[in-house]
Amino acid sequence: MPVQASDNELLLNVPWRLEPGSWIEVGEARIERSSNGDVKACDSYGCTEARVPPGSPVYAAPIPSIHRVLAATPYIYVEFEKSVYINEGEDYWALAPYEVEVYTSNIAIARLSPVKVKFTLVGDVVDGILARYYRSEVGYTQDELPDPTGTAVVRFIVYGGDIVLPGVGFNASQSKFYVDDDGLIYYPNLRVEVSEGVVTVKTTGEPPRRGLREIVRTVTHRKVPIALLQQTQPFVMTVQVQRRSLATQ
Amino acid sequence: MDGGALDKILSGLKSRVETIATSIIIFVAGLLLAYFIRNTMRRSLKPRIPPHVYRPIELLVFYSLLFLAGVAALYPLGVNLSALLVAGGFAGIVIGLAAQNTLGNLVSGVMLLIEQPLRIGDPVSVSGVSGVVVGINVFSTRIRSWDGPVVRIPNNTVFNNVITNYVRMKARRVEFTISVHYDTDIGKAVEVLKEFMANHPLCLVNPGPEAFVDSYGDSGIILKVRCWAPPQAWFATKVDLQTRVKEALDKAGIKIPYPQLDLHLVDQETPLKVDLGKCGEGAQD
Repeated sequence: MPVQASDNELLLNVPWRLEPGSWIEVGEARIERSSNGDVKACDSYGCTEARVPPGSPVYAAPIPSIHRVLAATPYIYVEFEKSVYINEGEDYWALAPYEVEVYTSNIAIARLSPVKVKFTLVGDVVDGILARYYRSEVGYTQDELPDPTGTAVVRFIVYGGDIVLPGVGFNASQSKFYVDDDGLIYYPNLRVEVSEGVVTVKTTGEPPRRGLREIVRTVTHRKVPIALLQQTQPFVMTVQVQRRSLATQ
Repeated sequence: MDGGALDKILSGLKSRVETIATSIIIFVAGLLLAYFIRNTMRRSLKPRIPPHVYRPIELLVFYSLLFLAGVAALYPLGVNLSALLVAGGFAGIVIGLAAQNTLGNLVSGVMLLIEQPLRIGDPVSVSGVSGVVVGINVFSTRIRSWDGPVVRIPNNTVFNNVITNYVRMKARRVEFTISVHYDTDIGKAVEVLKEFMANHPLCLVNPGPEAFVDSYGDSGIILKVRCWAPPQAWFATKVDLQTRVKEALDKAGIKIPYPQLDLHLVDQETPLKVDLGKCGEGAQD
């Protein structure tokens, strides 16, 4: 079970609504609401405590993992355990991190990372892209993926040519989230466009499969202050195109 | 008054009215053109550049066009434009010489705003001053130095000096040295340091962390430790790594040496002579 909580009813609806006396655990993140309404939200990097009147609703919802421990980039880069040879038009599945935002009314109380945070640089020190890093298995189907505790499922579809991909990055700042009946969290489909060794990844607004519900939040999270200008820019990286020789075709 | 004279007067009046009308038309056309250009600038240029840069440019362009429209409107009235322009030219030269530095700062300020080697909020080092840029005006740049004071540097100086910007790259390297005891297994120490950095959230995966022997010191082996971090978190990462590295080495049983000096006696057969009598009065008691 990717998410655990004090009662099963809490798990059914995302955003998760925390009543006084309840708790919820998402990976390494834990949110507790005491009987007097106070909130304690912790992850591997610290805790936030807040006094909230017992009558005020407190929610927790997935947000793109671009705030913890530093809001430095809108990009997430998922490196695959093994590089994948991908044919045009095919789709693959992987896991990507998300964060949990705890909020009441329109005020964010805390943002927590359910998994350990790492950053990486894709490309050059001057012109490259700084991205939140996560290493994931990649599968031909969703069933091949390991237990997605603290991570969301992401599906990417390749257009424009065959390619060997070491990983896939995407701009997550405006990303929506979806949830299935088991409480699994999903990112929208990623469209991977390959052209002349340049890979451009765009986040679509499409759910990765049917039967998912879009997570509708009551507040919008704040934008990434450092990378305001990059908010809508796709993730672009160069890769070595693997061309088959004529003899093998 | 005869009819001819009246006609002459009327003709002269008509000619004068036509001249004035022409001048007014020229001026109004120039005015409309100035407003049109100002509105175009507001649509296309204003959103792209900071307000404190845009405003002087707009004023300069608008009033220059008005001045030109005024000069052009004087032409049909028979005003000697050549003399006016020559006088204006001389005045320009005199003002330019008198305000050479000021104009130099102005031009440098405009160039800085176009090229943007530094922006407000950037940590920079300019002309021996290091700190965060708090303001870039037309004539000067203000930098809040690391220890607080705000330093005003004329734009001419900023533009003509080496500018080091600490956030214009995507990653910045954190580097420090640490000494370990000569008895230490170097391979193990290097692995411990690399793992320590690999577990730090702000040390980048790529470029990866590095640890290697830098030199052999008097008291221990000096290891150089490097990792790349997001530029805005460079100082925090450096401080955190330097603070916690001892804990990581202690956990692995690796000792950080004290300064020490080994004494080797050449003649080991003759006992070392110690004269207690010269150690002070207390020693004799």
